[in-house]
Amino acid sequence: MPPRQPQIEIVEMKKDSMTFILSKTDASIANALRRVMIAETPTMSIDLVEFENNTSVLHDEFIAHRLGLIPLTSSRVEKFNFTRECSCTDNCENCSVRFNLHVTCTDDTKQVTSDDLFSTDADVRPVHREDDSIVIVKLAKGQELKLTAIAKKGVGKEHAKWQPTCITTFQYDPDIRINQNIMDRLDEEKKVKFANSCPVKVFAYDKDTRTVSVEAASNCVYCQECKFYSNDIGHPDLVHVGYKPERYIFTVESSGSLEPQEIVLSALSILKTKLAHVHENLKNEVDF
Amino acid sequence: MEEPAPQKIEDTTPQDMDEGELYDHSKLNDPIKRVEDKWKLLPAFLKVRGLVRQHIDSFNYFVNVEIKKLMKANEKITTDADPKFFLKYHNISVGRPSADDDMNGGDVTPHECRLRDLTYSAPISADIEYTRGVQIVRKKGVTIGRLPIMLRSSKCILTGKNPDELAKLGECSIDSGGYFICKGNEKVILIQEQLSKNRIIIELDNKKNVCASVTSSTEERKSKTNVVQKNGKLYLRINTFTDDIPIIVVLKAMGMQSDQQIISFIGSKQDFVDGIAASFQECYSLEIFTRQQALEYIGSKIKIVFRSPFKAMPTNRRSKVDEARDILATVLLSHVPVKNYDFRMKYTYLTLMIRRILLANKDPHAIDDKDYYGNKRLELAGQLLSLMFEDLLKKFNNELKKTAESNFQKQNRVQVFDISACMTPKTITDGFIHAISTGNWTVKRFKMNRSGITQVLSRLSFISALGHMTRMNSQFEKTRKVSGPRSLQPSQFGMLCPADTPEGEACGLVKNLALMTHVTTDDEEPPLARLAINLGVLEVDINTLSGEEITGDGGMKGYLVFLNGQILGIHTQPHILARSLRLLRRQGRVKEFVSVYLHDEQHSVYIASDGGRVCRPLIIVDKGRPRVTEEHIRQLSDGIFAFDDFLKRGLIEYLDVNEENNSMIAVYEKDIKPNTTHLEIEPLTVLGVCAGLIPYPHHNQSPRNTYQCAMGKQAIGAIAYNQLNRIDTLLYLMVYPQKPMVKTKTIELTGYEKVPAGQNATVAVMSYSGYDIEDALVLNKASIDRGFGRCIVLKKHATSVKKYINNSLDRLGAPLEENGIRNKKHEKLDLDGIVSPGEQLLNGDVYVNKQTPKNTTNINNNENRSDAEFFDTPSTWKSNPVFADKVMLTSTDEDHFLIKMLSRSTRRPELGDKFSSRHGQKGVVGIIVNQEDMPFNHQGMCPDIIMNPHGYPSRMTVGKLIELLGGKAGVFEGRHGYGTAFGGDKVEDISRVLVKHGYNYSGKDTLTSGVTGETLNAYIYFGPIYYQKLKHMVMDKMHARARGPRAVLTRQPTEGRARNGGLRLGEMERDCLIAYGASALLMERLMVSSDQFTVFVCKDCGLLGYSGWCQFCKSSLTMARINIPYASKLLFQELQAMNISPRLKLKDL
Repeated sequence: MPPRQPQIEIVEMKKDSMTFILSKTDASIANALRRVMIAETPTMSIDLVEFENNTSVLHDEFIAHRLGLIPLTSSRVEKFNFTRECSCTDNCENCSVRFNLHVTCTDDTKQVTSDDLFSTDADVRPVHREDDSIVIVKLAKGQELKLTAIAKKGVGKEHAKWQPTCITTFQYDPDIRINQNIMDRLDEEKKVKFANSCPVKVFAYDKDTRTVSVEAASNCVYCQECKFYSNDIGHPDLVHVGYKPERYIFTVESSGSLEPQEIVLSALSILKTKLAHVHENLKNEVDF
Repeated sequence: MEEPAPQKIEDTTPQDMDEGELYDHSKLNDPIKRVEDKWKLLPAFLKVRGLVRQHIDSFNYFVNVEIKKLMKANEKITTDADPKFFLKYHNISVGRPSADDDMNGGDVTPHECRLRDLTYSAPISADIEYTRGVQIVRKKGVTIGRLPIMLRSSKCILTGKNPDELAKLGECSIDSGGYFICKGNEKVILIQEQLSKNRIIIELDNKKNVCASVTSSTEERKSKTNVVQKNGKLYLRINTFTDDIPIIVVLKAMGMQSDQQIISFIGSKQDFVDGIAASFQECYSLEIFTRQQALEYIGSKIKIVFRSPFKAMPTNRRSKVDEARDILATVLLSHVPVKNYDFRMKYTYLTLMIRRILLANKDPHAIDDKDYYGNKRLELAGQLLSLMFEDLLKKFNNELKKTAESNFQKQNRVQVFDISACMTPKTITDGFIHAISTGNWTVKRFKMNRSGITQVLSRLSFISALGHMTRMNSQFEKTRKVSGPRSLQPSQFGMLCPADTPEGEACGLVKNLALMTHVTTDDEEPPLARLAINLGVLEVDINTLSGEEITGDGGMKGYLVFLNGQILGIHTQPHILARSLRLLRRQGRVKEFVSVYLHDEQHSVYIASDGGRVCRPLIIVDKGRPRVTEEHIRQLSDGIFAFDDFLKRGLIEYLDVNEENNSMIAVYEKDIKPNTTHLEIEPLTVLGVCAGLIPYPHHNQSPRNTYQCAMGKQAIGAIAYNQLNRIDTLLYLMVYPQKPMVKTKTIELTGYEKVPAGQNATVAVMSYSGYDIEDALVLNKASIDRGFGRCIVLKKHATSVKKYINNSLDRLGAPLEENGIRNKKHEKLDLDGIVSPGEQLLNGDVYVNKQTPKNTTNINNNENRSDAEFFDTPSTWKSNPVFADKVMLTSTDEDHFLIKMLSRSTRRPELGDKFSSRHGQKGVVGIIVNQEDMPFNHQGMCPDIIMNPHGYPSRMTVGKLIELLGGKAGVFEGRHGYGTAFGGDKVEDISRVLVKHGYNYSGKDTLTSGVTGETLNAYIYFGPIYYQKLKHMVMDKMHARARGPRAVLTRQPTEGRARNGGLRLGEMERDCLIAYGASALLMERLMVSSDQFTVFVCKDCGLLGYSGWCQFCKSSLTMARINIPYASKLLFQELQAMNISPRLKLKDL
């Protein structure tokens, strides 16, 4: 078997999501990539909150939890150390970013949002898209919220707030083939019924040519309805529903802290580092 | 359902009898048009009545009507000591709720009472007239006591306030009210279920003989009368007689002259004559022929009551005959009035009892079912309070009388005696508070001594509080193992929730009202009696009716007419009477809660207006058409009509359990038949508040719904809008509660959506890891990180700063400082000696630095006390770390300075925490799995919870499956699904939605393993299910100990987590060790690790000695040193103390 070269083919690229096809590799590799993207891609998130004044209706832990879940721009996350690996004793500029928030409500009500969080580092600030900033708490007249928050570098394995992705998934590319020989032998009614048996309209029946074709294979949810129907009419081999081997359609949706391609690249480099570590250790052990 | 025997339908539905010919029968087969949205009557009903209306109505009735009647009955106090003296009450009223102190100008809000441990009560004031010396004085508005006020009742300040105003008063606008606040505790007076009073009940005694019993109850007296059978003879049994008295003797004593008359009253048919013959025989064998003889006989059977020797015996002792006549007039069937010793009413009643017994002898069907719900009456807060009030008022009056008498006996009074100065409100106030806060209802007059009447309102979740208000307690003993009273009675249909009852000992005895149930209050009798007479009832009272006319035996076609259990008279056309009364009720001429019930077997018409009957509204159907039309519903939606208008216009009416027996009730329009009389408003109303939360309950196995009813009350969520302003003993709140994806109409109506208790979890029904067996759940760690199942626990810690009898006071000490460094334990304190809010309290921290004076008894004039005169009595934190959330300083009405500290801790779900869906499926967290290890679908969604599929087959909770389906469809459609009982979204429609969005119609998805990246070999049922976090959390339960405290007496380790106790090696564990033969281990567990003790035993005498010396033998030569459990040493000594001498025989091994 010749050595395989995994390939990536980008299908779609958006600001906050991307779809690509990873091919010529095993499920284990695809899954490793997915797992690393979820759990081990580092980002920045608020981890420590010091309250000076909180007269809002939500209590300190509540607000701290909400602050933690606000995605922070982490494109420059490499410049930070993990706090536990940093040379400082507590936290320092090299491993953390300080945020200030001070809001007093003078109107009837006021919403404290992620826009009110002021960062000391221009690279790390709350993700802001158009004009929907994230609400932290709603204040009533006279209430005040004053706090300092410290963001740290971390990975999703430790806490979900460090996950850079909303959705990271891959699916198998469906392989649906109609046995046209059998299909040609069916009458029109059965053809229509077969095409309609699929709840997600994978098949299409062309009235003019009187043929059934696979129209949208990617819709398939593997519900086997078409198989059930073909079994019912006594042609179990009428349709083949399977996966295309070694093709994985990846979807990566970012929370905003990293661009989708950054997530993939970061994950790949982490995978590489891991393999390098294995390689290193193996070399030392076996000692060629 | 409630249908009479089919052949009787024509008789029992008189409205159809003569109108039957008036309309075209052929049109009856037309399908009846559905009144769409008739369920809208339900919110309209709840809007005017509310869910706890029965409590509030009952309390209002007491406070506005009943209290005045009670005052009238006890209005005058006179004394023998001064015949000129009197005190008379004229008017009585209950004022506005207020507090004794002037903190807020007297007015008080319920929330202030909760916080300050006060009682939410209002003064009862009376206008009085009394003699002061020779003058007659009138005073207005004298406070005689304070009455705890039910929240949202007519006297409560919250009534009629809009949500904004309520919020200003610190009150939650969706709180139902209906409870009391007593010393800061919210107390509910549970509804008490009882057998109805003043009705004849035919039952079997324990010798399987038919007997009749009546529990009479009037304002003055309660008594029980039995007519029993022994060897085919009938006897009267009353407590006041030493022996059973032959019934004929009693009848003769009541003035029935001839045997012929007696027979004619009981029944002249042969069966009756045969049945009573033996009793006549007995009367003659006793040689009793005249009234005088009968009375003498009865007089000889009167129990001799030993009066206390201090009370003077009445000087004019009456003869036995007089006494017997008195007892017959007042004790026997005391609810039947006897005027001038005319017993006619009474013997009519008594002969009726006899007749019923004789009937039941022949026909066992005539025996009454005690569990039948028409025979039950519910006692509510109002009735119970009125009982209590009358008792307290009598006590109050007696005290006044005594004071007056003792004052008149004084020889030379300096001042003129003014009784109004002696009227201290304490008696009545304290009586109420004591009764409500302990739940012990003691009314000496009626020998009533009930406990557990009140309960602390459960504020665990909103639904538990609401469910508490609909709860009902039965007076039946819990220990007796009888199934009858516990089982679900068909007559409870629509009145009581079939699902909501606890498991275990109280099963079936504690019940809950259904959604639309109403409990009646008393209504005036005389106008109703007058009306019935006008409608042609011939009164028994007037000496015109013969026995035959009453019994209907001699070819007479009369039906007896009863009003609230009393014989009113007879009516020859009972159907017309019943029909006219019903028509009058529909027209609003008779109160809506009056019920008319025709009992054909007993040839009787029962009219009831008494309080405590359960009833429910139904749509009236006539001529096969429901009276409520779509037009009406439109007017209701437009707000032109209210629920009461439907009542007033005779479109709907209330039916009680008895009257339901005379009706044919259709559930749906399609079921309407020619003889249908009523139509259900909405079938979901058969369920109560708690069962109403369950989606698709009609698809579940019934015990599952019962389990959910119990668990919904333990769910953590939001409890009220004012939850953060409350300082409760224990309060669980959820951080992010959600509305359920699949809701029910009940959920919308009760306001559960506004204060939900649970979260919509995405559930995958599959097995995973093996940590999910036995109902354990697999939780996604990322979901927990993001806030799933997170909750807040708030706890109250109160400290009171007391004042002692020598006027010395507790004080708060400033935190200790040494060289500018705070004492470690005092680090969290503010300068006032109380913890600073927001600080974290760790084990050992002091949160209130209280100091108590050493001298609390002797009067010491030293005002400025030195530190040396105090010792520290601090409150120290001893538990898991928490935050001090709030500190409140206030004073109670007892002049105590009160400090309340609220501690707060936020918890995320951990291994062992308990979760439950809404289908009685509870489980604990078995493992928490990282997100990347979770299976995911093609969209990348992974479950929050993985549930093992083995939970389904044996429990048959199909409702849960449909909930998932409905929830999933709802998610894609962007709306909530409906799972209303006997309705809700249909599976077919849901499947169509799923398919529309590219999902399998059956709710199953293809998932990929997060661990290997391979597709799973099965389709996984995947979608949202509403999960509740239950209050049982590992953090509160986890416990272990190595060494620790021991009990003083036995020196064995203490018991329980709170006392840091040991873990018991119980009997069964001991048995295992014995069976296994691990004697050394057994010895270690039971003695060495528990209460090993070294004692000296004398080998000679076998008694315990001390330190090598035998006190008995006076010797130290024979002492041996052995190890025994301290408990056995204690036993030996205790035996010795009771003159038993245990001796140990020692042998060398």
